[in-house]
Amino acid sequence: MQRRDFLRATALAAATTVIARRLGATIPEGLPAYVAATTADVTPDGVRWDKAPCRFCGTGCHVRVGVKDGRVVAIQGDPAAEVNKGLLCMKGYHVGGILYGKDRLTTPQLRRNGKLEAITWEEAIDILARRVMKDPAGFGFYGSGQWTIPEGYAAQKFMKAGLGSNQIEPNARLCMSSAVTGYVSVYGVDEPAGCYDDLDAADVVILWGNNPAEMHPVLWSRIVDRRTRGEKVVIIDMGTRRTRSTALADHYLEFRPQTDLAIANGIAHLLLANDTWDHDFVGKHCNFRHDPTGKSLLGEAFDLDGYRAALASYTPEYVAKLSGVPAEKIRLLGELFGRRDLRITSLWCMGMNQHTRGTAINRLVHGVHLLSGHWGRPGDAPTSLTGQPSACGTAREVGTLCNALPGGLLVTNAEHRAECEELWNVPPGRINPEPGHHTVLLWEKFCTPTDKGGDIHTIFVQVTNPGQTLPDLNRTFRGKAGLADKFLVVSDVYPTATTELADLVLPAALWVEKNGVFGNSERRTQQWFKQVEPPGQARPDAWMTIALAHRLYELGHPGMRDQDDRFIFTFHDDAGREVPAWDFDHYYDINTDRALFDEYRRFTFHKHKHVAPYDELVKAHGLRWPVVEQADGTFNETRFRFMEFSDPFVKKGAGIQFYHSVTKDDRALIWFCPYEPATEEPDNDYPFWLCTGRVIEHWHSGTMTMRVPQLRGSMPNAYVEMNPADARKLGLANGDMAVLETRRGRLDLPVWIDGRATPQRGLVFVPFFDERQLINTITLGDFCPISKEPDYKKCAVRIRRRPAEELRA
Amino acid sequence: MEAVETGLSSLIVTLNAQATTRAAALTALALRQDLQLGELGGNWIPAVLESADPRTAFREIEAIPGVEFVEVVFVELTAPDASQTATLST
Repeated sequence: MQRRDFLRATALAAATTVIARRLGATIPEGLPAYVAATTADVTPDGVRWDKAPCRFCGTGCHVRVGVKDGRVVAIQGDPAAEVNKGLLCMKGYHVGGILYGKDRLTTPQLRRNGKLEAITWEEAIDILARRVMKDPAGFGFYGSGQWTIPEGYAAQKFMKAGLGSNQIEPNARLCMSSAVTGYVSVYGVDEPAGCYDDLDAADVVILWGNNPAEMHPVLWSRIVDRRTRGEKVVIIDMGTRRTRSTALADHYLEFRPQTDLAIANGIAHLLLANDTWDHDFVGKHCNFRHDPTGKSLLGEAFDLDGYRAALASYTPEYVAKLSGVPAEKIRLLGELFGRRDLRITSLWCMGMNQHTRGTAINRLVHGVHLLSGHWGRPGDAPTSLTGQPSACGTAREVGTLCNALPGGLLVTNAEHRAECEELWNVPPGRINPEPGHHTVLLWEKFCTPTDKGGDIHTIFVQVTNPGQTLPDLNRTFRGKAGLADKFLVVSDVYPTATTELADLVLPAALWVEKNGVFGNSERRTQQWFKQVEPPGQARPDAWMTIALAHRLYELGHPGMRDQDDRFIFTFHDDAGREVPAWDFDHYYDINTDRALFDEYRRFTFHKHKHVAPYDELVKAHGLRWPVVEQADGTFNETRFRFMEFSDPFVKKGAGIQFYHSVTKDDRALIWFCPYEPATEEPDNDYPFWLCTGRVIEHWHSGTMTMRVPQLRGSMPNAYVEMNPADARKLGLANGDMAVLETRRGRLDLPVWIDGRATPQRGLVFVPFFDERQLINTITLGDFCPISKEPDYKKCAVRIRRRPAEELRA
Repeated sequence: MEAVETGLSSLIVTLNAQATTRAAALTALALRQDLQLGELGGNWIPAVLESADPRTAFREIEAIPGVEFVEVVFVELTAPDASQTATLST
């Protein structure tokens, strides 16, 4: 059989398998093993197939990666993966292409006299180590939800157990920390109780400022595909702009930005007013809470009477006036939540999280589910989605936030610190009890002269692009330029807006060029093996961290030794021999990922977040924690937390048990949080709302997807999306150049009207993927006072047509 | 979802449940030279697309009356052409 024929047969088998799975088959008989196996297999055409989670979003789709002659030659949706059942989105099926942009970084480079010049890895690690050694407290580590779990764990251990510093943050602060504070303040512990199985069982799916048709397309297919099977799924899209998700929604509720808080309170008001709240569920499983300060994570006790009084003003008419959503639509939501015969799943992502009241809106959405009893059955779930492949796994579970320790533990808790110090075998008192700077503050301090309080002198960036993604970039990032005593180190795979200001650039291995483990939005931990070599001298980020730690060990930093005077990253092979993994020639003598992951795993037991052993993950397409060992030595995953029918940690007979309850009585908290206006609303000078976000073709800052010709060709540049009536009023037509001005700066963009989405009157949308048009130079840096997550969805902007003379200039 | 230029891809085409509409759609699909169809399962038919302009082909398929939805499950990555590969060096 010719290669082409074989490929054709493979392609057809892939599609046939997906259909068979939809029709109820497991894996159809007669198909070759490589279609669905969890182990690598070589097909007759010489292509080696192995599993990997997709590199992009938090959905966690699995792909089969086809490799031939050391190169990724084909990508297939993995039909054996429960997450995507063989499907991929347009980014997913081009994921292999991200490895092959022609400008891959392949050599460490040091900036000398304004130019980056090649240096050796030894020099690079030494330069960085000496910066750290000089003033460890002023060193910051900035990573991401794209760190693999072992990479993030290595960075976490290096900082908190080694340097005794909490100046470590992931970029996930910018995208999901409001979800974290929401879960923690409601349930006492982070991450969703439900999982994607809820999408198969829900009668009603409510999108709270969420556009899964573009941002989580495979999950969207999973929902709408049920309709093609004749199932009834009501989709309610609540948003500030009509999107591709709206196109398939039964109801579109367009609300004025920020008033999602009022809508949630309006639902709760109706549940109380109509007496359709679930007395039994609330009586058994909930307490009430409020936060008079607006800044407290855990707030103060409240009671039903107080809660009822606080909600009294949120009548449908009042909410309609605030939000612009007709009162009858608010009543519709109240009626749906009041019906016990329906199962309701709420989905949200950046729309609710990137919000100056992010924690509050997260609490309120959990609250309407708890109050109405739409909680605790498959399909009845409030579920946040994540935008990065391991925002949950690495940022939240490994705890690479400035206030966290692995496994949901906290630096401010003495018992937690002691437990971690013991597990890390470092002296008591090694872990700093003071949280470090949150992301915006970390970068502000870096961009502030040292003599003016800028206490961060060096930042090591791994796997992210803050030069494009921080809000209000001129203040939070570009202020670094000209500060001679500040030093920026960036590990990345391509040149970016961040490397533009970097003093030291380190070439990184990407995705299947290294071993890895991710954790997706539904608590699923997913492992993969290295499948191709990285280009040039590119190396894994975990190695960089271990090498840095070892150089500090050589330089005499005491924190790089444990209580037994051993290097903190000491590894052994199966024969018990020590493996110097810090020396890259020996990094792959053992599976360092396995060693790091299994070490990390011990931290996950305290808060019942038991991840599976690495070797179990090798055999699976991901497992949802808690993964609990059975009497026969096998491991079972948990689909639904806190629910007796699924979660082994729930007491027998309890039905539902919130066993990490804030109030220590196994109850979740129903919060009251008032609607408050946004911190910067449109006015006469800046009359429009500016909302930023993503597009289906590009993943976040476009570093990877803009290197894939097909994706770049489909969406080559940023634009400003306008409501047609607003554009007409300003004399703007499709393709005209508009000038956008906020209180922070100006950006010129082509206008797009009636494209794939339509914003409401008075709102414009700009995607952030285009590094040539940095929209974050004009966004607002204000953030939720509790989660510290910035609001990229709301600031005031004015717009005008760019005059012809400016165009000529 | 949109298809974009690739060497070869496989699709799942979701067809209308109404028998006559579906039959017309199947006929239209079968007439396309760039499609190899598999066996119909439920409302879905697997297909392999090979086209010099797969993006246009994808949109044409989506526009066929009786075609509800088109999804991509497999893509062959062609060797990157250096002149096409994107660069964003700063």
